[in-house]
Amino acid sequence: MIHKMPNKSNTNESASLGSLNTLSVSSAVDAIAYTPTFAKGFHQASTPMIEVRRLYRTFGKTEAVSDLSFEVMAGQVFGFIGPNGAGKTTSMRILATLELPTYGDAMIDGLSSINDPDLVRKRMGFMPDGFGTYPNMDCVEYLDFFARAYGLVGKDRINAVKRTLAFTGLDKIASKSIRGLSKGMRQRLCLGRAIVHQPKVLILDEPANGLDPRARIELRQLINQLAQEGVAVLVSSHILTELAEMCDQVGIIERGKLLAVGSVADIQAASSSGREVRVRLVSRMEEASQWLASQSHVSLVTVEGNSISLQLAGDVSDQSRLLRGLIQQNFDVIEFASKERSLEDVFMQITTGAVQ
Amino acid sequence: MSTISEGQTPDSDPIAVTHSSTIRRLLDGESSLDRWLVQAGDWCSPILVKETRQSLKSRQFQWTFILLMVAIAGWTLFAILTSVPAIYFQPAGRYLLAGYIFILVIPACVVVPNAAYRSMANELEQGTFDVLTLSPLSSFQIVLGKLAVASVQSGFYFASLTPCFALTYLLRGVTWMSIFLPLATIAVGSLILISVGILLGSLDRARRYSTLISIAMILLTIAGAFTLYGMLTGFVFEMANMSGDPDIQIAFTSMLLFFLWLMTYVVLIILAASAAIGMASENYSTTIRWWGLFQSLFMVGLWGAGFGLMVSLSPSRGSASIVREAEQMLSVLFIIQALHWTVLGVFFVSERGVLTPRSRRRLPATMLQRVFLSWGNPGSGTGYVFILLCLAGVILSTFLFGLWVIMDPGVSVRRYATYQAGYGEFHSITIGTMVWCWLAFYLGLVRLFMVCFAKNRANRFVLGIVLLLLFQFIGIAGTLYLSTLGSNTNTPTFEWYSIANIPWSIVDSQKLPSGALEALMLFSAIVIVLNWLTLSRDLTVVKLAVPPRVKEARIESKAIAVDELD
Repeated sequence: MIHKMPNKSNTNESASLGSLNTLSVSSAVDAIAYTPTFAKGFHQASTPMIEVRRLYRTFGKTEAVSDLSFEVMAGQVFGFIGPNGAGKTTSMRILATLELPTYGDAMIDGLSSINDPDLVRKRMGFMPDGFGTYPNMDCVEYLDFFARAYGLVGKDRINAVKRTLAFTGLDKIASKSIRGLSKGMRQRLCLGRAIVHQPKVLILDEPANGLDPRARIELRQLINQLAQEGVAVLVSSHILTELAEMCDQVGIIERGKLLAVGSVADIQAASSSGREVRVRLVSRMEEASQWLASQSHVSLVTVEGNSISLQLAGDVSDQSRLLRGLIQQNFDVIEFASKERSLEDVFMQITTGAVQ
Repeated sequence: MSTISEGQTPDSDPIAVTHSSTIRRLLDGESSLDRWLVQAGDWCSPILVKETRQSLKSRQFQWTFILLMVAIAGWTLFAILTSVPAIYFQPAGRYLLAGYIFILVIPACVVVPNAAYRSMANELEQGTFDVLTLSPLSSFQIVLGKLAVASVQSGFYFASLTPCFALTYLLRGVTWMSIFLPLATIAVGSLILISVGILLGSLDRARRYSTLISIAMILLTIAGAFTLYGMLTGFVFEMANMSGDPDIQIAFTSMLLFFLWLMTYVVLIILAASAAIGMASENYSTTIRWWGLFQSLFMVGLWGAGFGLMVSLSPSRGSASIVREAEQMLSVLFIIQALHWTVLGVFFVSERGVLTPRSRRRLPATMLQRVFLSWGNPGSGTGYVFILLCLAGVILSTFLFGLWVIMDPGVSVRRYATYQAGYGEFHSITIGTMVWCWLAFYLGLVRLFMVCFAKNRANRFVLGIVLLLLFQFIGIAGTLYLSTLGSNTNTPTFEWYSIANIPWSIVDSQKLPSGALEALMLFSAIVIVLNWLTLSRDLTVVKLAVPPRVKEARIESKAIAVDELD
């Protein structure tokens, strides 16, 4: 039985166009909103668009991926974090139907990447680490080829290419040879290739690698735009601050194992054993440090010049109580600040830096 | 990213206008011809469209084409000027034609096959292969697209030389057949070399042996081109002597049928190439098996036609000469069939035989289907039985057919056997039995080795080929060594165990020592039984139902396609 779901993207059409304008994308052709092909689909909001079930992949004696499981829902951006050789690319390549796992399954829109790669490929766009471009082709020829390869013909193909050019901001260099494109532009072209058929799922392996700050911001905006349109995005990156801003969920992977998974805030809270507090005083540094070290919930007290750093194992009320105590002890406090643990701190704490 | 400054519209930006017109030209088409071509492109393979665009920009195509034109002009002027005035009364056309054949053979059989190989290898080297396979294009479509592009390039070169061949026809010593047959031969040779190039380009996905394969490809095409040229030159110069021969029509028809048979190998190579780059969970083995059987039957059909023709031209059925010819034809057919099944068989018995759920969805389901079609399922055991059944079927059926055709109606088989025994020197059924037993013995050994010692080994096909060659070498060298040791004169003599030596046994097939054939049959039977005992895993696999989500997705795809048509 065919269940026709409401076209999620149509309801967001005006928002999409608005977002495009904020990207400062100049367009020689009419801007056409990116609309994933949900209209005729069976997509159900409760079904994960990406589902990895107990995935294992070994290369000889090396276990590149070990018991990996996670889910990504439609409209979510899932960040895959891990050191080099952690198994991110292998997992993504299995999801993208390019490799077979040793054990387990990877599903895209409820379809197995292993057993139904032909159906999965129609629903997924993959941007590998390498560019995968033909140097002696123009941008428009490149996108036109992939639109044809995805079975788009006639007006559908023409519209798909124009829409992708506009969306990625490549329309002003459409006839430029790929050989002459900058790295950032090539990344855009690869993203365009991955979305030319309007997939429901997008897998991006290190998309921001080697991009300048401006190009990174623009790429991030494009990814967020796609997520707003309902696309499930799985993205890996070394730039953790960027992932923290972009992702709804992150998974930290090392030596093929998923060490932590959840929203950035959840992971920060779960891995946090407290907060780092910095106190600056006018004088009596040694005395203050001794007093602080004697307090409950306080550890790792260090004196650096006229400031004291300490680790506070408690919440904001404990922090407030500590400040009150300092003042009651007649210390001349000129600064009392706490620092939230960043994703980088969490990453450094969880991972050991071991490579396989 | 470049942006438009305030107050500037896309229309007033000259760069934007340029790119906009390019987009229009490439996607919509400017003139009506452009638009027609854009629409026609929708019906072509995307690979063909892409590679044609790339080829038209590539220097390789431009330079080859320019050099071809220069060679044509140079040769035409040189050959005509050096032949005048003899060209008016001597058959100088053949001389000119031989030159044109050389000019055509080089691009068609060297340049284009190597370009096809590079095109496939470049996809793997430049990392574009991954993004290509991510598209819904099947591996067969990709390979076929590559073949189509190379064929179009080859077609350009053929078309460029057409006026030259027409010119030679106007001269003495050239008939239409002496033009047509070389052209057809070059076209078939070019196609075979192109498909081999695509297969070699697809095989080494890890690019470990790319340099080695590149050199092998260049040497292969050069050797192929010069062999072809040598054959064709001889043919062109012999053609004039044959022009009055009534058998020329038969030779012409036979050659066309032979080309058709060779084309079935082009399809086989393409199937193998698409399997090499295809989805890991897909079953390509069954298609290749049935295609191999089709080729075998096609070969039998051609043989049958030739055999029937031979009998019809013969003065009397059942004569000694016709029996002798029939026996020779049968023996040659059995040997060619055995070679065909050995080449295919070594790949079948090297299969891992682990069926993915995707493959299991298409297994035969009913009892009757399982009995007859299970031998087509992937797996070394089913593959082994498949080739034995096919070869046995071909040998028995063609032998009985041959018997029926050559004998006078009413003559009993016993009389034929007596008749044959009287001549004694031709015994096709002995050859048939031997080739079948060798196939069963050697491929069975390869399979047993794989099952026992290399169950989960990578590169199984390479290992299978190496093992087969090794066993063959042991069969040849071992029997020669043993028979030399046993001989007083240090001269090897054919003993019963020398039956393991295939070339020697075929040469000495008329005078096999007693017990040799029986020993071969016994050892083959042992190997078959051992293989049969390890076969159960391949046959106990059952069909899986298609998951409901997959069914839904297929309906969804169809619905989208219908909507797009609407």
